[in-house]
Amino acid sequence: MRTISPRMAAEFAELVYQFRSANSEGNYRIPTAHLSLSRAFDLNLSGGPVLGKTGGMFGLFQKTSGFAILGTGKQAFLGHHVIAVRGTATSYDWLTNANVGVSASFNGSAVHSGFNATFTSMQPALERLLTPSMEQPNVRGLHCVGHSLGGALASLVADWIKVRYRKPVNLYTFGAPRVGMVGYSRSATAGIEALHRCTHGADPVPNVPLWPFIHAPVSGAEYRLDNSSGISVSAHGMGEEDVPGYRNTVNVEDWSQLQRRSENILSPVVRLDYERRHEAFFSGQWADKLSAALITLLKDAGYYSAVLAQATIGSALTFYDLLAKTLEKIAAASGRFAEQTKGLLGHMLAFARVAVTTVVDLTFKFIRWVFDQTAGALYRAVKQAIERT
Amino acid sequence: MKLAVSGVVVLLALLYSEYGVTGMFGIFDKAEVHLSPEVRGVVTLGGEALSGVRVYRTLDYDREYKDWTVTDGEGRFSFPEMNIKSRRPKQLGDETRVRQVIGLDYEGKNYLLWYFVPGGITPRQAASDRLADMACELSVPETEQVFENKEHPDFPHSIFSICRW
Repeated sequence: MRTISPRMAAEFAELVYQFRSANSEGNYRIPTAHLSLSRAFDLNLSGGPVLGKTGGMFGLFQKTSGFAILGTGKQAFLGHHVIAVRGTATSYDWLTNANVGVSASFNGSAVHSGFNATFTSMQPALERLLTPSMEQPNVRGLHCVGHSLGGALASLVADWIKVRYRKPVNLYTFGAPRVGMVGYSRSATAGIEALHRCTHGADPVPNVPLWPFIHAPVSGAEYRLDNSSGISVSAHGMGEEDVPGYRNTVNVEDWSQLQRRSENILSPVVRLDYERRHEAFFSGQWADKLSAALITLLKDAGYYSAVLAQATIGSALTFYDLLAKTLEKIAAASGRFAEQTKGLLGHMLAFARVAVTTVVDLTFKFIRWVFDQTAGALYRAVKQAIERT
Repeated sequence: MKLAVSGVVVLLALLYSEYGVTGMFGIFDKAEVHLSPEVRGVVTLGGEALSGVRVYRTLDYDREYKDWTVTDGEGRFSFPEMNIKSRRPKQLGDETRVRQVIGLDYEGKNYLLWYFVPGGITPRQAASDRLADMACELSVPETEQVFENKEHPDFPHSIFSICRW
């Protein structure tokens, strides 16, 4: 299946942000002549944009939770369709909620319950928008595009399209958060033809939610578009004025012009030495490393599948409660596991910039507190003034 | 009671402005958002100036800011530059865009003089140049027009307008 260019994908991802209601005089236009996408796709606005939740037309869209537009291919892209998705203010709360739950996605695997609720609210409208196009002969493929929360939603939309219409699907995301757990990422990796996940080094959003949420593809392949490090709010922005701004960093014709890197996020074995805990610092790299160390510990102790399964079916416990209970059990089982748990917790405290990184005991209460500190530090970075005016 | 409330409001306003300047609390940090440069134009029909026509300007960001004016004896109209302060640009995940619309209704028909979504919150010289010199001949059809973005040359501008430059 053909792919759309990085430039075009970014144009679509930003274009959905330009949609808004008509002004009070009833004027409404979508300027596209300056974009490369205008030479390959026509926008279908006959039914208005797709809205989640409250439904209704333009006037209500500030209150809705999700939002999408459809492009219909022409010439070289005849038979192709693009669906570009965005989240809106209300749904951003999900990004900053450390106590996320999981729910079953369209294909039955465990995904972020907040993202899934937003997607579900958009689904009937998406169905109305897409079905006429998908029932035409010669549908060659569908391209799902989104930035930030829109990237998470585009990912769920891609999965749903695959199952619902049985057409080839590509996915393009910019600064998107993690959507689901291992099972979801595996099925997304297998079901989607080409998965172009773009990130900036200092963009905090791709780091959340924390493990057990992982990105698809499971190989960890992504386009890392700059060399920034640390965590900065402006690194998440899409526009030409943002630093670096995804529009700027992917403004090329071919994906081969972008740097692709792959960090295997599933298999690295990481065991952390308590005495070296001060080497950890607050960064995306250490967030990944802590996740890997947690997985390694659970695997070493033989609890990995059990925790995943329990997290998936959901229970009265929050996920972090479940993890803390499990670690308490693991640490009590042997001196070796106690040391490994201590190493992990000490590094988490250093990562979270807690003044005293001494691990005092390995009780549920203390472990749960360390998780709160760690998740809190990461979510605070993401949350920075996210509450809208 | 009313007095007490307004007293609190004044106190809060003082605190806000104080901390806003020092940036002591991130949440009070605001950025300047350029909504529109100064606008100057002339409205004609068949080359004849149209006076007494109401021209409106709507500027969207966090909400719609609307003003309007009436063309003078030579068909001229103008709007001042407009900027606001907003927290939005500094918020993670915020992708609010500015929209500039200028239009008029004449004999029951709506004419679009300008419809533009700039790619950011700072002025765009090429757009400002056009807005400072609008020849609005109502018999000319509205078209989508592409022109250079001087500040960010990779991302040209596109507007809808009946005006030509």
